[in-house]
Amino acid sequence: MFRDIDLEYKGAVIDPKASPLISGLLVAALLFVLIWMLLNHEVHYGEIQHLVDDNLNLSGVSNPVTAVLLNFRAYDTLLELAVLLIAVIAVLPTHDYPAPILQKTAAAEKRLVIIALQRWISPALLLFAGYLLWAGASQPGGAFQAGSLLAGACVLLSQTGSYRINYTSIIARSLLVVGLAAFVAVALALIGFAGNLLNYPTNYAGLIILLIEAGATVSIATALASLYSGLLEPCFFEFNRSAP
Amino acid sequence: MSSALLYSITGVGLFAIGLLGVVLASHIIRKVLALNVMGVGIFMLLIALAKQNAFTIDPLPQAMVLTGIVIAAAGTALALNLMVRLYEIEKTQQDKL
Repeated sequence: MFRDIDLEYKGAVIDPKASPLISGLLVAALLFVLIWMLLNHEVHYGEIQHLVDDNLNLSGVSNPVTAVLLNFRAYDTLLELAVLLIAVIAVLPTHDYPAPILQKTAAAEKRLVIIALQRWISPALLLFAGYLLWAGASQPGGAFQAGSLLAGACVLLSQTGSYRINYTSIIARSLLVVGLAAFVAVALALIGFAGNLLNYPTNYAGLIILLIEAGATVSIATALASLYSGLLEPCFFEFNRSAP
Repeated sequence: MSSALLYSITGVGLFAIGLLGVVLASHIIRKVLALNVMGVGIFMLLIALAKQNAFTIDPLPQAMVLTGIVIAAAGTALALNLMVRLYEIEKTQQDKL
């Protein structure tokens, strides 16, 4: 359907486009200034790096990136999950479409290659996502990578044409919020125990991080897959809107 | 010239290309794609700056980029969804005329 999208400006103003010459010169000047600054100034001192290295044994994980994401700067990740949820809320239709979360449909055409690919790859993707989630504590990996893999598996499933995932069902909506809900629940509980928002006790930090990451993985996967499905099947949401 | 500096300059160059695309492109898909190129340039700059010397890597920019990639993907999907909705509205208005 994207082939016949035509959203170019055809309004009353005769030449609405920016002048290529002026824009090009301005951007070239900006590029010149930025590269000059890169070459002549120390833009990054890495003071915080020592702070992270010194406190890594308090964080509950041994991978510094995971420690920054989910312990030292957990606020960022909390707000990031909220932003992701807001994007999904903006895209999903407001009322439920009465169907189970996974529905087998009568495929108009059998896409044999994609179906075979999905059957072979999906179990491997699930396994690998679980491994990435677990490995995030000590190696590169974690909730984001695992969530993207799971989202890819969902997209592959809907690409086969023989299944339809209903992202407005109550189960899918619960999966969408479970990451943020777990994060907020942990934060609120820690006010009671530690007196501070997101100040993990050192002994339980690893467990708390794993719990939050598991929830975040599920939420990120569902959110990315639902955003993608809204693009792929606008007719699905059309149908959705007219449903009683 | 170290490889980190080369990657930084490439990131800045990608940012400039994306900026030019956002300003000059008239089609919405091209604008969204150009915004993504800008974002990729910034991510590349941050990742390149995270590598100060051969042995240590600053985890803070890496965590920021990891967060940013997911947000950028969600933002792009939101923009494209809005574009499809705009297209539907335009189409119904043209049909009415």
